[in-house]
Amino acid sequence: MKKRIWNILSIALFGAALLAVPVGWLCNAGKTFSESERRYLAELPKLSKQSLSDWTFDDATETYLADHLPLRDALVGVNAYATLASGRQVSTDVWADDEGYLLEAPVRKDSAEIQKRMKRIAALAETTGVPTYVLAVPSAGYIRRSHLPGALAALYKDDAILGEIAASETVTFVPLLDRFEREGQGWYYRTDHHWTADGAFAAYEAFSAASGRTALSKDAFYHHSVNGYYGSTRSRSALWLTAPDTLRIDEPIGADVTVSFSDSDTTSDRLFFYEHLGEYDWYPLFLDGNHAITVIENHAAPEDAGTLLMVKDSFGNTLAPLLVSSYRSVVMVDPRYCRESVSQLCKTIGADEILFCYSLERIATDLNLLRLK
Amino acid sequence: MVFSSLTFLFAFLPVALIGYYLFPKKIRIGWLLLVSLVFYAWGEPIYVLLMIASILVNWLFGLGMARFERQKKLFLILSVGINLLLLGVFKYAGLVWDTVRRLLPIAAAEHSLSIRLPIGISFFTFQIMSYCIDVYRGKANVQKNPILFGAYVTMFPQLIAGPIVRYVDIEAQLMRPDCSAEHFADGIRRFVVGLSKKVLLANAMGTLWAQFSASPSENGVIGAWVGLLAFTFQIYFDFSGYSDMAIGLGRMLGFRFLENFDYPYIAESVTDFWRRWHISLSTWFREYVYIPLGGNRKGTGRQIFNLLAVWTLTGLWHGASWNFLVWGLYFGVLLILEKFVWQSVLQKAPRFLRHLYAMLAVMLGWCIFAFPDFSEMLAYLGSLFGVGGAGAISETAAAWSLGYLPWLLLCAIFSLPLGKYFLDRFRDRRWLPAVQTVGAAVLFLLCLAALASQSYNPFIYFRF
Repeated sequence: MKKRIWNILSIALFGAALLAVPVGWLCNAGKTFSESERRYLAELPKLSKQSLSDWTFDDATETYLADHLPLRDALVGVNAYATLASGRQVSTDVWADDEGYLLEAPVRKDSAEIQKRMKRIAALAETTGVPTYVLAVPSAGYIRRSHLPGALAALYKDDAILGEIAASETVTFVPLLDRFEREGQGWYYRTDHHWTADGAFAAYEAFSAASGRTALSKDAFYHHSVNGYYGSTRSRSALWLTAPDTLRIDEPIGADVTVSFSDSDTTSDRLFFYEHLGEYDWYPLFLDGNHAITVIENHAAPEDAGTLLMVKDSFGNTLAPLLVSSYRSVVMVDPRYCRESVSQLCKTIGADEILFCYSLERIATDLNLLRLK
Repeated sequence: MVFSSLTFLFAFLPVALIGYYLFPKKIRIGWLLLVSLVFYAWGEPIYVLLMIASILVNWLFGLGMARFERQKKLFLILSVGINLLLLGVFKYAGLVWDTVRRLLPIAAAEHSLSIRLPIGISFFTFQIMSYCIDVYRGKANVQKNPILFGAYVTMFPQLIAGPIVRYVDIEAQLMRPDCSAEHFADGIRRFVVGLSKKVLLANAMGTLWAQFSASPSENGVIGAWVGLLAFTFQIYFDFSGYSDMAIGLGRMLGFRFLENFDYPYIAESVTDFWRRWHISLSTWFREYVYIPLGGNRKGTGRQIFNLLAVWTLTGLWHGASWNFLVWGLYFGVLLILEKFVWQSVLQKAPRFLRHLYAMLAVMLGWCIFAFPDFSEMLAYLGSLFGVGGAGAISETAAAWSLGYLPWLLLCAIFSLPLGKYFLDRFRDRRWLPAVQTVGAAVLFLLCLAALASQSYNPFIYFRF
């Protein structure tokens, strides 16, 4: 082909791109929510005296146009794979290992911050006088670090962080690391930052042992599976081609539960909320996701089976259904949504034990733990 | 509005180009002036009035010089004076005031002076001055048409980030731009190359530099050098990328701007580096400051003074901060030393050593350039030589360095004139236009993907 034809082709391609994107913007103008990002998109900025005087109109327009870019998810995916292929995933917050697991980047070890949180937890244990346990879930990246390049693997410091958490004398530390290191490579989702049902079950056994209760065997649970689960690390990384996970749900046989949620004043007789499978995010299937206070009463348990107060992040949502058979009631509190005094709550419900169930990252960094009272 | 924004690429540019080629040739330049003013006003809705006033006043001074031969010098002094006053007030007054406040702690000096810097003021005032000085010298014809003069000053491709286009270099083109398909296609390819330099290379290097510069004491010696190398590449690909985009956009509109960069990192001396880096600025200072001061024609002492004067100004031109002055003087001193002390030694040294010397000098210069805060600058400089005690390289710095190694190598390769060699070598091959077209399309897609990702921000806090 002559050079002239290639020149015309260059102009045609460039012109087509320059016109196609504005047409795409017009088509996307009505879009207000991004499913993949779980957030509302920027609104079309209004030209005002204020936006002119503080020079925000330019930025606001750029944000609006970026949010409404046609084929945005596909383009973000192209960039994600280009970044991965060029080896620069150290700059992102989710790293793909050699088996395609999408792992959160490591939490930075900050001893002073960890100490502050552990002091709050110890203070709560002393105030209430109730036996208190801390269960911190090692990160998937640490457990699967042999599947990462050595330089990235070296940045996970879970052993040191857990060592600092375990040093507290006031609370009982629930050890998970050794068993997770031995058996737990598959105890995390490929596309999500949470542990799988197997990971949660191992934690259930470890906590039962630490608190002197007998853990039930897996036979004491119905096992249901749901295929096609895509979780948070896939959304965050935009590595869209990652294969989906299977969610396993362990439902205690013979439990007769009432579940009530403080923030919506609703009750239910189920631990699992399958209606969320119709949504973009399936994880709220477990106990309807995060609520300020969730009270689970098991009417089938003996009257004197006791009450557990679980202070938790979302990892607790899959552990709680396993604990239901061991207690008369399990009360879950999520400090991110609950401003009530946890020690007061402990007194009100007459808790026999307190369990802090957190991912390693949350327990090392969550600011809400500093407000614990 | 920057060229690497979606607003520019897909809202402003299509409208500007369609209007430019749709309207009859007679009013094209008028359209170009109009869209350029909109382009500027998008980011500077108030200061656009300042720029328009400056254009009108200097256009009148130009007319005055042509009309009143005897008062020519007065008009020149007024023009240069007003332009320097604009720069002084909007760019340097804050720095001077802050320095006075620090040195003379008087009660009245408690308030800081906050004058926002109008975008591109250093570029457009220098362009306007070049016009007035050249008209005064008789090197350029006076432009009687205010629209043509306004279009020269405001032309959006070079308005906010250069290159500094001298009026004499574009005077004839303003009357008759070359709007051929070949010129346009050439412009597209050049623009995409510039966009890729900025979005794919400079931004990646910027991320790496941000990681290393945030905590200089934690990188280790090797980490500190990798970080500085990242900044070295970032600033080159950022700036030369903008110049490429400006040159490409200029070509799309039918104008041919002079080159602004000539592979500066292959330089064999600091003198050589400055022949290759930001050529339009060096040319401006040589033409309008160094030579009028006497250049090298008035003895060694005067030449040294002239060089120091030019490099003081060059440093301060880059920003209203004392580190830029130090940076300018650093190069001024190095250039003087090269000229009068170690030129002969340098010429005899092996080529490899000459490159190494030039790159070390340039990189240490970037370390001065990067930090307006002198204590941060010294901390980073110290970390380059092992002060701070983080060993050879920290674990984090190693992970980042290894992760970015392919990208650093890519930057090193694109700093060499391999592309130029490739084009020259295969100029007549039939497949070359196909490779160029497909290559540009792929690069443009990757740039778009990177731009789309900048705003990708999943909100998943509630999931944890």
